[in-house]
Amino acid sequence: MQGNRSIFYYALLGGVISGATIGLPVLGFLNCACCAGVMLGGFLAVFFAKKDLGEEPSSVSRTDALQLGVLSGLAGTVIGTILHGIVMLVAGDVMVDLVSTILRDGDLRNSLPPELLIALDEFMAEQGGFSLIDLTGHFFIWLFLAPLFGLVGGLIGYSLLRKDSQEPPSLSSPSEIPT
Amino acid sequence: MEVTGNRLVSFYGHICHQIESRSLAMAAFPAAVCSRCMGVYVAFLVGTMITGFPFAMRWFAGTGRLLMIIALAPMLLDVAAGIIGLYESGNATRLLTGAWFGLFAGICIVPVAVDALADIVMRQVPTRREPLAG
Repeated sequence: MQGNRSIFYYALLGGVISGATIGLPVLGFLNCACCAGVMLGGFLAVFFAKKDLGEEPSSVSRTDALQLGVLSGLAGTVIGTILHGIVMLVAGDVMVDLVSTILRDGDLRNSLPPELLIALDEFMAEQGGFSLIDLTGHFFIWLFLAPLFGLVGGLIGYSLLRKDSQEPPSLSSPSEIPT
Repeated sequence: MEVTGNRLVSFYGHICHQIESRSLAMAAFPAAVCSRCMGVYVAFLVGTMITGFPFAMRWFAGTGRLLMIIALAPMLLDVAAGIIGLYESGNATRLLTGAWFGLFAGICIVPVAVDALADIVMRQVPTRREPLAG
């Protein structure tokens, strides 16, 4: 990748978006759709790099897109875990209060779909306050998931933002690899 | 067995809402992911397998951008229509639009990923020097 800014800069930009969807309660619903939030982070990392470096084929190569996606996922895992920890420490009780208010309010309860009520009941059952073990588990699960889905997002971004004349999809034949 | 199953379902809970009414079920047990996610994953696997056939890939050569738009459009329209309340899509629609995306995403993304990894490997492997003549 050519340009003044490092690949890590764009990965961090994508990572902030991924991290927000991993760690924040409301934005976290985005990840309920095949990790769309994490994929969005990988996509935006490629988008920002492409925007800064121009449309030339050499500006953001497929290798850069792959690396940007993976790195944005890794950055998102770290940022998301920190945010998750902060939310659990600061606003954990607020979320529990909010959900218990919804569950207690008869009119509100009747207006919600039964699946959502079951999900809210499960949420309440799982609440045990801040726990370092939960946070570590959260970190390792996302350490596996976020780079994977970030990679997919980065490659979707590369495929969507490139001109079709640039690097058409073709599987590398083994003969191209030097021995 | 049941413990492993519960852990797997809990793991997939990070990447899918797992709402029962939106999931396919087998013998009264709902799948660990919703019908749309299931469509995406299964069709992505099929798309990945298609990339192994060079004659099939020739049809898609040079269509990366168009292919991604074709792949994404039905699913995004289905989701958007549901959010704004235009209509409530059923499991069949979700499964089909997810599978449509997964299939073309696999066909489009996997070759790029393989080429990118090959580029990285080629960068790491030192090129063999030809012996000097004479």
